[in-house]
Amino acid sequence: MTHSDDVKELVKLRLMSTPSNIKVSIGNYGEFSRDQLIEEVEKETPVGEAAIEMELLFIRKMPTLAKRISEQR
Amino acid sequence: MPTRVLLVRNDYDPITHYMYEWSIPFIEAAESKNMKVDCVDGLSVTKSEIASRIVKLKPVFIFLNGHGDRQTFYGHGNKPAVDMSDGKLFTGKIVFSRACDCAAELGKTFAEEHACKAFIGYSMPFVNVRETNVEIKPRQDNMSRPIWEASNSVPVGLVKGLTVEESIEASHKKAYKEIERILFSSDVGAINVLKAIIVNDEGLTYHGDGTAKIA
Repeated sequence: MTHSDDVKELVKLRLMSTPSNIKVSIGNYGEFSRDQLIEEVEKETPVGEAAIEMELLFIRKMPTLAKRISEQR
Repeated sequence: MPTRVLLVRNDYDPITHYMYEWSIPFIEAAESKNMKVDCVDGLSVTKSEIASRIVKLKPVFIFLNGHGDRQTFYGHGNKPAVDMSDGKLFTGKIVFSRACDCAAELGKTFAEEHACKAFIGYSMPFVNVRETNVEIKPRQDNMSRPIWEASNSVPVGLVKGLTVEESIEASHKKAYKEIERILFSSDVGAINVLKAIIVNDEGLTYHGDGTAKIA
């Protein structure tokens, strides 16, 4: 799946807020630093696509998470 | 005779090293229930070794740790170790595959066509997050701890007597507890752990009998 430039920019901006001292393992693709992930998103590689899907899932899940947490409180 | 469980642990890159180390709480939980844990570790994680152990030891539960895709669980050096041709080996077994995507097709086929009692796994990539400015000591890595504790709720729940569905629910509960904690945390890096927990929790699924238990 290809994503719009707006989505790519959104994901890149969100990734920029990630500290530089962490690495993310995404499935079989290996480990990536923040800057590597941003580059993968820019180049529209499978890793970049996976990073975008992760961000979009996170955003989509937020209303459900907020509801579940408010119900538990 | 003690109940036998088979633990398969790759250990050749950072994420499989985390899998290896984070299987230790499972061993402790199983042994505390007087189960016999047989391990296939590191270089031994090959197609022939796994098949041989399953045939010889007849474990009721098989816990696979490594890389995967929709049709294959990979062994040492990313060589196929369990694939679509191995269905008969898994007849009557409960399986938890901590590997990317294996539940999507491999697990579904094993359960639906080869009477695997239940195949629990991930239908999406498994994600880990770790700090790089510390030596890799997985069980001392507090950043990634919630990711692994949520995942471990499945096999630990099973050896403690939960059903397949109950052990998955235990994992969801642990995930949500950690999500709530992280959402109210001031740690900027923790947001990445949150994303990993959400992706892993979303991908956690099973095929087969949800009421199945380890005997």
